[in-house]
Amino acid sequence: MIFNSEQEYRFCTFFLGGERYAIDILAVREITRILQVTPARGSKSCIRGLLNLRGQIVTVIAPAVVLNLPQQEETQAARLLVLKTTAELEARSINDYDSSEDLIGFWCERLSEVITVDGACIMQPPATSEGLQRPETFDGVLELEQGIIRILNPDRLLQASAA
Amino acid sequence: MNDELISDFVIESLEHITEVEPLLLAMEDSGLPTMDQMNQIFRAVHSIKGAAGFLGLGDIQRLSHSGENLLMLLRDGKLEFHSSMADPLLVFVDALRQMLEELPEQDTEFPEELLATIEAVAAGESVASGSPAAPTPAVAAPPAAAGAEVADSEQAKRTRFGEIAVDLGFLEQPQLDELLSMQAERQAETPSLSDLALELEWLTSEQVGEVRDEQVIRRAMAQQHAAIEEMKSVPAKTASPEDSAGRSPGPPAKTPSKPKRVSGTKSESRNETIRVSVGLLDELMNLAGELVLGRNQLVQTLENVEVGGLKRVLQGIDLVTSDLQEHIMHTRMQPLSVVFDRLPRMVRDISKKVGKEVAIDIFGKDVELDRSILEALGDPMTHLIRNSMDHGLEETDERAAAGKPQKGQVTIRAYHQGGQIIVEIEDDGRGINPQRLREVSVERGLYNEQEAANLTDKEAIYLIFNAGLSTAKEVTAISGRGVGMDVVRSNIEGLGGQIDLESTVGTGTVVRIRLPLTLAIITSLTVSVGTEKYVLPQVNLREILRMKPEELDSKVETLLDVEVLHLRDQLLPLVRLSSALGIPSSENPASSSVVVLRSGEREYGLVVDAVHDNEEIVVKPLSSYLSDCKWFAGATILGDGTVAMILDAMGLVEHAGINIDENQNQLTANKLHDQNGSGAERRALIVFGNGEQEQFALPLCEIRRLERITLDQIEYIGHNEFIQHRGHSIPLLRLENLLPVGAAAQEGASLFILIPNTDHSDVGIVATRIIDTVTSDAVPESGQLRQPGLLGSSILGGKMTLFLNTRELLETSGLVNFA
Repeated sequence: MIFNSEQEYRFCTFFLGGERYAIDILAVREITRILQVTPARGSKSCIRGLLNLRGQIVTVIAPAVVLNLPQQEETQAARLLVLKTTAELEARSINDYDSSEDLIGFWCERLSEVITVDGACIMQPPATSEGLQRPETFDGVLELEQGIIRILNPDRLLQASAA
Repeated sequence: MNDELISDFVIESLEHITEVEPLLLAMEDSGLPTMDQMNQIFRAVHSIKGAAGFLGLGDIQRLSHSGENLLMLLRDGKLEFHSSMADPLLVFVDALRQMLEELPEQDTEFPEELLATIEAVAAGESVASGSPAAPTPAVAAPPAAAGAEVADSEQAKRTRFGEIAVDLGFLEQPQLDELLSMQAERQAETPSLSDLALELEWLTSEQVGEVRDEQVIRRAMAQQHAAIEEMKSVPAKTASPEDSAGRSPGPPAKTPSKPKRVSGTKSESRNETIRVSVGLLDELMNLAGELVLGRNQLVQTLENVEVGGLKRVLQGIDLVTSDLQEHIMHTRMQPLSVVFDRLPRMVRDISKKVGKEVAIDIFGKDVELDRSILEALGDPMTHLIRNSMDHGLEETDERAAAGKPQKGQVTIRAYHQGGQIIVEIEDDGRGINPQRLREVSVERGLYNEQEAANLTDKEAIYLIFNAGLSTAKEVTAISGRGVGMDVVRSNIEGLGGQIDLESTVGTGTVVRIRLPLTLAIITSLTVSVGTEKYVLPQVNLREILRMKPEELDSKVETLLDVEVLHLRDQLLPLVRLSSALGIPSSENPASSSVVVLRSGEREYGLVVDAVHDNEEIVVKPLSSYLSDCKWFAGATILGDGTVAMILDAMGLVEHAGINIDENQNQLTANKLHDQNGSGAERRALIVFGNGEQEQFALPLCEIRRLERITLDQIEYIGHNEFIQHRGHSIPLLRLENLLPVGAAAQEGASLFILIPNTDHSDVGIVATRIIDTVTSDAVPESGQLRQPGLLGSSILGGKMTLFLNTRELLETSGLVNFA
């Protein structure tokens, strides 16, 4: 996704492997506590299992595993970023991202704030990023006072989890 | 053109066509169409034509117009119906359907030939001129009446009430005039026309009701018509005046056919329905399920809160929630007629192709099933009926020689039984010859001659479900390639159903399909390993063996690298759920259970730590990220709100890397070895005692549960004994009260209760001791022992044993109400 320099964007930021990442808030359906995840034994390592979200079943994916980030201890602060489904994106005419037909949630270690930034502040991700796994899943980088925030493309991250 | 209008038109027209087809078939059959049939067909084709004309679908209009002409001649008696006309008419209907289905594209080639044929049929013996008959005299809505309606709607309504009453034949015109004048005279009290008519007893209150209904319909039509006119804002096309005559709010056209048409429309609109998308229903279903969970949590949270009246409110919510869920489930149900209604046409076509006369009887069209099951049922049904007609039914001369009626009979039945839907397809043909199947199975190398000879008749007949086996001596265009029954079977099993077959050589075959009511909700068994819970569909379940871990270990041996369990006279391959799925199993579980699962031909035992309850669960599909986990059939949300995976019996055993077939051969060999060749069916029996002396036996498959209870659990109402069992009170049946056997010999403080599989409420049969379960082919001899509830006796384990007939027992006990 290309960010328009004259537009403002809002990102939901969170921690993976101890570092800050961001996802466009338009792609996020809701954020929920992780109460009880039922493991789906024998599935891919990035799939943590299934969770009951008010009667609907969410497949929980760990982006940290997809991105090969260091494992962090699980704490009470862990949250699930539930993505909008394809149908929900369509219903809201959000065309920047594709999604899945099913409800998918990204497991993150803890949540940070929601930030609003100008498109102009978003830098292209470095073409050759040393040590960076799955570079195709990054849409850009934000350099803020607190440090670097990597912007994840939810759609490509999903594709990477399925591969 | 508005796509929505067109799609509505297509749906409605297809419905019309579905109505027409059986009528045509009935007409062809009788050769003498009734006025009703003619009218109904005419009306259907007429509406299609009218709407097509309005939507500017020229081809459809043209075709339906020619059909309509022919039908009109037939209806008006200007042309006599002859069975040979059914063919062109059916082709006409097919062509119409095809054109409709391809809409909105109108690139179907116009069937000029068909048009010519129909016109030829219409012209052939027609007394009228060959030119298309003049359309029903167009009667435009009389402007005067319309004006009057606007000017004085009250007056118009009254007039219309009277007009409709005349239309429906409840009143004569002079009577109406008289009523109107009376009304005018009694201006002061302004009695309504209906009151006057009732007063004079010219109309009954039902008739008034009918007229009112009609009035509502006509008004709705008038509104619709006005809306359409507005949208069009183009002068009406040729078809429209006629159309408007049918819908005009003004006084109806005085054509002879008119009143009948109106009354027909009315009877059809009795059922009020709306179309709702399935997605929306699914969503509702989901929400209802969620509401149930919410309710459970609410009840839990408020358990210890003391607020006056809270309990009653909670109970109210409880009831409403359950009702809501049930009703929403019902919205997804559709009657079997959706599938059954097209069978007569199919049977007719096949019977022409195979040159056999076949009659089809269908019962239970209104039995309802989940629509997803219905959709998937069509293909297997078609296949089974083709089979019946092609292989099952004999050639006409062969039937005559066998002393059977010339016309073959295929009967389709559908009914409820024990929470399932049974669909039977029966033919009175030659039946399946088990000998022939034995031969074929040897030819195909499935068995050697000895093994084949050892198969019981039933087993031999079941071979028909194997891929590549067919008894047909030659392959025909319709069937006989031997691909089929295996597909039918896997289709049905895929729906969570079972297929069963009964056949008697020379008499016929019955194929019985058992289907769950709905796919979305299944009965299941919850099991656990360590802290994880898993759900098994009840359909795969054969039996549950509970044993201590050391007992299990002692009965297990390793064969071909696979653990097998000695179960009665069989070797059962075992899959340990913990190792198959890599679940960290709890150290030294206190108990373990073997759940015997069956999937298709295969049977194996699944070792789990514990078996919990069975419950009805809502199946939720897995996301695409888990689609390659074939060992999971889906997921569900348990009562406590957690998600549990549903295990797939077949996928699980494949995942465990066990080739059951290999083992199964071993098992089959074992089984054949045990077979003493008597041909009698071997079955598992439970042997138990009650009195001092007698020993009883019941087929294990007829027992759903075996419970151990203590004497103090028995409650009394009058002389009847009851126990509480899973929230229900079930009556106890004592054998000594029904049969001339000794009274219960009480040993200790506990009793056993055998709960049979019934379609109705549960009953518990009392036993004081359980002796054994055996597999035996013993056939009880009735002798002088025969009486209701008792099949006879035989020797089991060296002791005379009375064989019970569960159904008769329950019937004579009077504890169960067999509806």
